[in-house]
Amino acid sequence: MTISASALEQIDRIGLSRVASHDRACCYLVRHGVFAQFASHANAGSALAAIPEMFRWGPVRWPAHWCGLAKQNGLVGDCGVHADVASAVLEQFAIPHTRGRVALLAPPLASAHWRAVWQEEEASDTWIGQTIVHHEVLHVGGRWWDPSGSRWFAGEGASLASGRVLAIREDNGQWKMDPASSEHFKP
Amino acid sequence: MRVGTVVISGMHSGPNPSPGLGVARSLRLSRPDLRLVGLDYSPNSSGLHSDVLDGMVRLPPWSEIHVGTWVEQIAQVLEPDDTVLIPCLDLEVRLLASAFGPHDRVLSPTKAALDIVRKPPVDAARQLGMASSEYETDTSWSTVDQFIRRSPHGVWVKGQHYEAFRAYGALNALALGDAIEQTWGGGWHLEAHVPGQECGIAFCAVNGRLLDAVFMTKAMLTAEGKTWAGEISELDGTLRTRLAELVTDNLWTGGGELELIRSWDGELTLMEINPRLPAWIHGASVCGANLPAALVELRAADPDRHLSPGFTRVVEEISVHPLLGLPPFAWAPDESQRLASKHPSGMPLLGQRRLIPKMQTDLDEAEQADCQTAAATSPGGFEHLLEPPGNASTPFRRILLSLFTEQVQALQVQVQGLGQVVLAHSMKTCSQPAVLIEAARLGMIAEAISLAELETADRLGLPADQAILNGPAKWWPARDRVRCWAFFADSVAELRKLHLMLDDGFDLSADIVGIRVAPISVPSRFGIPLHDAKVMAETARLLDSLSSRLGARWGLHFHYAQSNLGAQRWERECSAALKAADPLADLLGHAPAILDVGGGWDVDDTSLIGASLEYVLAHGPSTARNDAPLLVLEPGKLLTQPTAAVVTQVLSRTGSGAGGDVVVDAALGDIPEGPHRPHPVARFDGRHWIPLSPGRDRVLGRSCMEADVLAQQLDLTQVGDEDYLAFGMCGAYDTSMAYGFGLGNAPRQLGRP
Repeated sequence: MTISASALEQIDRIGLSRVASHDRACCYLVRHGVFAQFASHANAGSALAAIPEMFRWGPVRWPAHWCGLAKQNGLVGDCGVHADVASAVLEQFAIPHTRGRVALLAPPLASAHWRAVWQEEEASDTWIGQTIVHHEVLHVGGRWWDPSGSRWFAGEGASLASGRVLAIREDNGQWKMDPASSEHFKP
Repeated sequence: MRVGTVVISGMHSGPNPSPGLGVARSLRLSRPDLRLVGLDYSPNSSGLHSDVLDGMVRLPPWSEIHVGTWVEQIAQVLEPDDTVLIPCLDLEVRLLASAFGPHDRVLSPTKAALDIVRKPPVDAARQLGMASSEYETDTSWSTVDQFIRRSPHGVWVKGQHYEAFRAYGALNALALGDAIEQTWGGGWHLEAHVPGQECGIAFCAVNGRLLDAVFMTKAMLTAEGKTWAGEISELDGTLRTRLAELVTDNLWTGGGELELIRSWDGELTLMEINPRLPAWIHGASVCGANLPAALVELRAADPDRHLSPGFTRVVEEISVHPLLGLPPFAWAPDESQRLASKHPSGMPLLGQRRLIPKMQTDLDEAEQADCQTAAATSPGGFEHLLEPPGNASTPFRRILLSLFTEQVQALQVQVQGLGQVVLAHSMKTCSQPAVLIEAARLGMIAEAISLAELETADRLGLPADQAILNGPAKWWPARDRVRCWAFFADSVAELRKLHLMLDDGFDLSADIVGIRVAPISVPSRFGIPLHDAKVMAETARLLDSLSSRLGARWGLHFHYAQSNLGAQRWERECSAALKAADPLADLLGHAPAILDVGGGWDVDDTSLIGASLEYVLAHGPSTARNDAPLLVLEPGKLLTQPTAAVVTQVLSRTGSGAGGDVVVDAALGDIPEGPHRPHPVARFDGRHWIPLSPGRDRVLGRSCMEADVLAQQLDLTQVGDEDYLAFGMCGAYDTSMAYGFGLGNAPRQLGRP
């Protein structure tokens, strides 16, 4: 599989997701409810694992606010929400970390589903390329954490539930390429 | 059409596997030239990694599926004329039937054919000449409680879409049903467990023509009850003919599985029909019955084939497919383990997202509604006897004496024709003076568990010299002199102690000296285990000498809560334990004067008592038939449970808007069994008491105890602040064990101002 510079540039143009607040009760109350639940967990690992269970994976319209994540059937979040919440949880537990992003090789038929679901919700689908998709992750203590799958992974070349990691970088860092794909990197 | 490519879904192969990999292996066994493509919805579907496949179609998990896109992609998969699809996931089969209708190259049943797959498969069982299990679709607490009590082998909680859990009590069943609803969407029902040997029939058909079928008997099972090894045999003539008719009548296409239980005497019970081949299908193929190949090649079974007798599974490790990789371990909250799932594709989401068309069940909605209303009202009727609440301060208890009288009269009808039977009122289930006086008027005797109770009975018209003393503390509080009709020692130690008490001058007179026998197969803290030979010998020696000292005859007593065991198990335990009367009679030299049976019967089972006692007399000790001992019956709470109602007032609602839980001014102390047993509840509408219907709301007690939930599964949408509610069935232990919790009156109860 080849990965082009333009594909990575497209991912670079997507800003890191940060859930905003209206500075009013509508957002305070949702955020309070979320972090009160995390505070009841015995450790950071347990709290991080609860994130994708608390925020059902689905479309989010960015810029997103806390109150907008609360839908009729519970909270909804994409990988950006998962990553931003995970970052806040790690801060609560005083665990140093940085945000990161991944260029993911998605299964061939998956992108069409994601695009259709995002379009139905009128959410931006710029994170979905033809074969490569943008995914947000965290770098914690020298290891990578997938906040949507609650998994540690080895970085470039690893397999996640939603695809293979072709390239990865910390926020403001340099892309690290999967050796198997970087041979075919098209500058 | 010569099939060139077969697309197979349901590829997960774990401890509880889907059939896909077995189907692929079977096809490879028969047709090495076929192109086999695995289709699934997660890289964790382990069969996708198998090198038996030539290709794979990996779709996103069901939580991420866009149905319109899925339909387009499946249509694309089926575009080549030589491609067929064998779906191996139950819910996917339903979705395909709904989305595609009949399709020549989708080898699975159509929507119409899926009607016979409904749970429980009563009609199909009838057509196949098989039994079907007892079932209950009314999931109200009281009905669930009754169904479990009347299912002597236990029950299964089964989801409309999928999943089945064994349940051991009503609250357990309700919680499991709730979990199934949360996981899979759709409803649930109860089925009685059928004991026996698990077996199954795999079959395949096209357009109603049965191509092949094979019978499998499970020889080894996994901890989850899944097949590990099985015996394979041809289907016998009659059953095969009936299956062929069933398949023809429903124009079945594709694979199918009948899940069966074979009883010890050989009767088959149809438990479920699955609309796809079973996960053990490759076991049949290696034995010589290759149904996947028959399905793809439209080939009928060779009538001269000889099947190998059986198959076993083995564990095999394979390398991960490079295109799929292996997602790392997923962490779970609260340090719990994420175990390998049967459904890595997230198939429960299909049900939750309501993508599956509604399945036909045996009762349509109208009938279910009727059932629920009936269930809501059947245990009660108390509301017709209850006066308006007036201005009395709540909570308060009303004694409904006429219901006690009705119960005693119903019991008298039940014991007619059983010989000489005496009915005993268990003081512990209700010692309200009005009830004791009425019991005496109706000709009952008292059963007391303490000397204090005995004295109360005596004062209120139930004479001590006609009363029975039972329990482990019957000589408390200490008295110098006791007169009773009969007593039953609870242990060998008690028999020894009585000798010592008599040596010390205790003045005891009784007509009957008895012992309580322990149940044999259910654990109990009470009674003497007379099935132990040494204990039997020692008991006989002590009983003989004690009866001689007192100049009394002897008797035997069995006591265990029927409401816990259900009628059938109670009958068996009672008759088995009472058989000790025969060897005791031999050792003592004469037959027992009385046999006393008891143990909290459920009110709903009043009509079963006569039959239960007949069973005990027929199957119990021969002395019961030959020597006609007096039969004493202590049915306990059965008589007194309907005899009281508790009236309470709503303090507040805990939710906003209509519906939701309410807090009332009664508490656990007023209805101690509220959290453990269903009670009928009525609302006062200003003129009448109206029974509440089943729903999802709870009545919470006024106390600060988590367990103070007095009722659940009620519809409280019509209930407002300060409304009056009345709980029926609050006699028995709800009255005798009531206490002033949270009233601040402990000093007064302790005798201090």
